[in-house]
Amino acid sequence: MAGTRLMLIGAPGTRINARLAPSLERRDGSVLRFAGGRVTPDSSYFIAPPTLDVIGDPAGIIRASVCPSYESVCRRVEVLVR
Amino acid sequence: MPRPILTLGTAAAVVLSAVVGLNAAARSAAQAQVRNPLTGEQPSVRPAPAWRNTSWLNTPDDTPLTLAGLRGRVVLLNFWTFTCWNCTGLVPSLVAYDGAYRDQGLTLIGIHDPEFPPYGGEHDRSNVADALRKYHIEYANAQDNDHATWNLYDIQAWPSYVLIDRRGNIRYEGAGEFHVDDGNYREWDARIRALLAE
Repeated sequence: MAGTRLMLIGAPGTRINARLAPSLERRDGSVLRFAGGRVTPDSSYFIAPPTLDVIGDPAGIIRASVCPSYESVCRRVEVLVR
Repeated sequence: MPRPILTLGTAAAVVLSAVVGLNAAARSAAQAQVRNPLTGEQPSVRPAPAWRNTSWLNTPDDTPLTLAGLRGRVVLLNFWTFTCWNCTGLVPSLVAYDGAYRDQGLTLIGIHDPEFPPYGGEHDRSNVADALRKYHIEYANAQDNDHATWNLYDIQAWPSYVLIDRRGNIRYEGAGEFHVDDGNYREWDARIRALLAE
């Protein structure tokens, strides 16, 4: 069965929250978590982009907590994948 | 705001780069029109809406605190989640305000709002309780798992805070992490003291 590798890259100046691993909520209801990226020493943010290898249909909703460093806040980002 | 849509090709997919920037910029611009993050400039005074959270921690017998019941006290609401580094980075400042001003009439309330659905663990009361202990938070906290209070106060980001005067009016709103004795900490400290003196 074909696979797809998803990689999350934040826009310049943003960081992806590693305390709350990004997820892919698939249409069948299953939830897969991104992993594998290197994190800051305090384990709070990804330094290297986290990835997810999906076997089968990758369609669903990607959810991530993204923290722009210029604002000192975190926001929830959702992307529909099809 | 509708969710961005990504249609995958056959190669490895790179996601979020433009989307995150777009979302952050759009929301930052929208937020700047209403309030200035960190400095908390408030265009107009208005009555604070009453929250109806039912699950509370750090109150006697876990009894809910109500806005009506706090009339006569200055209230600082902090919208946060324990998975957010900016939120936990802000906590020492909030703990400092609580220690300095609780006896003078300040009631600090954490409104715990999960970023993710329940599989993220943020909805579990025991996890929230663990976080309160870990970060030495002694002020009241309410679980806002359905985001009812978050939506009531039109909150856009983690952490956010709302300062309410003794008459129940919103006087300042802000968002973002700051630290004890930095400029923003002193600014909000001055606002709290000013409202306590009213």
